[in-house]
Amino acid sequence: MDCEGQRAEYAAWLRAAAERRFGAARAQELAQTIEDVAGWMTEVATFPVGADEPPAFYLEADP
Amino acid sequence: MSLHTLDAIDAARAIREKVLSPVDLVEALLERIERIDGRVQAWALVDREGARRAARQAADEAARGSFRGLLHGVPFGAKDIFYSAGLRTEAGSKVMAGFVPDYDATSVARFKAAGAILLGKLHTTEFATTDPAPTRNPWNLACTPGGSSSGSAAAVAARMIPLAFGTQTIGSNVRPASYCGLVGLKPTFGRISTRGVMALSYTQDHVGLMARSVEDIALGLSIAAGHDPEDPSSSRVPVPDYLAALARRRAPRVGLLREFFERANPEVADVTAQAVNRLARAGADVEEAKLPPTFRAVAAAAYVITRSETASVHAERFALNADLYRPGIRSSIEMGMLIPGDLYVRALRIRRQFRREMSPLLERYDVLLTPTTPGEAPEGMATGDARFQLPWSISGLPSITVPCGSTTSGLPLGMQLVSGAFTEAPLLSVAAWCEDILGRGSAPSL
Repeated sequence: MDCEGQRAEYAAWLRAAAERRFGAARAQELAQTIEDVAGWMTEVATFPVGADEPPAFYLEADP
Repeated sequence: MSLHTLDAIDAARAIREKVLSPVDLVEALLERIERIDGRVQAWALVDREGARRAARQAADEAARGSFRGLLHGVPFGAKDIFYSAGLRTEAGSKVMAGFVPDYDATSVARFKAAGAILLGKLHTTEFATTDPAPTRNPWNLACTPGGSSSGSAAAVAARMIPLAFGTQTIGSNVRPASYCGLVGLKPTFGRISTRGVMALSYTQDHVGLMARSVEDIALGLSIAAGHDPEDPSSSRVPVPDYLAALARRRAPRVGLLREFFERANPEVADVTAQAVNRLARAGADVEEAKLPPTFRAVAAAAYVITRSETASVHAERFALNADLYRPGIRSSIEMGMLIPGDLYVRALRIRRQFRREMSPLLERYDVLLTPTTPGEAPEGMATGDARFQLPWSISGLPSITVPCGSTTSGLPLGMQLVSGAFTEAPLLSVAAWCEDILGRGSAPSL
């Protein structure tokens, strides 16, 4: 799936989830925010991360 | 010299030499607040009686030759998300109305143990996010001081306090410091304890400092830094002597991050480039540095992380009082509830990859340099653009802003210096060298 398709899929999923959780009226109010978050989710999902790259919670420089 | 214009280090020295009474200093600052804070609106709460009481005690101790520490008798302020025992701490939110903590944040406690006097609490955007504080920029009251540490920046710039704590999760300490013509430090993640500071994002919240000189920042960091067994994110890396490091200032190797100049408005790019030229003429070895590929994904990753963690921080309170939250924080929490866990973890992996890719760059140069902000402090209430701070917040790397000029309209501009994890000592040394070359920020007329 290309990035635009992925973004549209995330946006649709977020709209549906927002309607279920917060109600249709609130989901409508969140429309622009949902588009923004769908964009971030797409970037995170599609950006190449090393298969062996673990998550970073805190800095690991501590002795 | 008017007492309210004294820097922290000069005030501390004068108190130690018994040529200044903490009582007179506190009274001068309270008078200053009385005179101008109606227009600036930096303070959420001024603890007049508590500060006067502490000042009298500090004066008595000084008279006996007893000094608690490096900040004996020197007032400071803290953003209103720092717990302060017995003082209302409301985070700019109706949700926290009337909340009075029964202990001090570790950073506040360390300042008090060093003899400092908490003058009061400084306005913040709601829960340190985007819904604005009432605070105005002392350089132009029509403009924002930036946020979320709005009151901290405005109070220090307006000479109502010499030193203040702020915080930064995305861009909330360094950016307002720059908008107000100050020096502002966001240290390495884990360098200053976040215990007793209301969380926004567990893995991205940093306690920061604002002052009018690099020396005052070094002084404040010397006291606030260090391991806190009560904060799981607190580092055990030893704390060096930051004030002594300032004596080792020398012309640095500077990696110029061109991408930031290209994203800044032309006036900001031009003023910063002129300042860089002055540094180069003074001996700095300046060359362009290239950001690693993962830089492209850090903004999205940072927002996914903060939204997810903010939703977790506020889950219980939000379930009870959703309607009390203002629009910005409310939508952040709601969206954070919806972001899938696998993407949150992937964002944390992007963070680590970015940090790893930055290492060679940070080893090659003493500092990386950018304009601190893409533009000057905007008019109105919105707190400005945090893009230039975000990469160093998500990666936990230390960054500092020093004043480097102003716009034609008279608003201050800063340059941002970034270095490797736990290298605050050399970072402060470079910042002090830059301050020597560029001069210190001036004072707004109020």
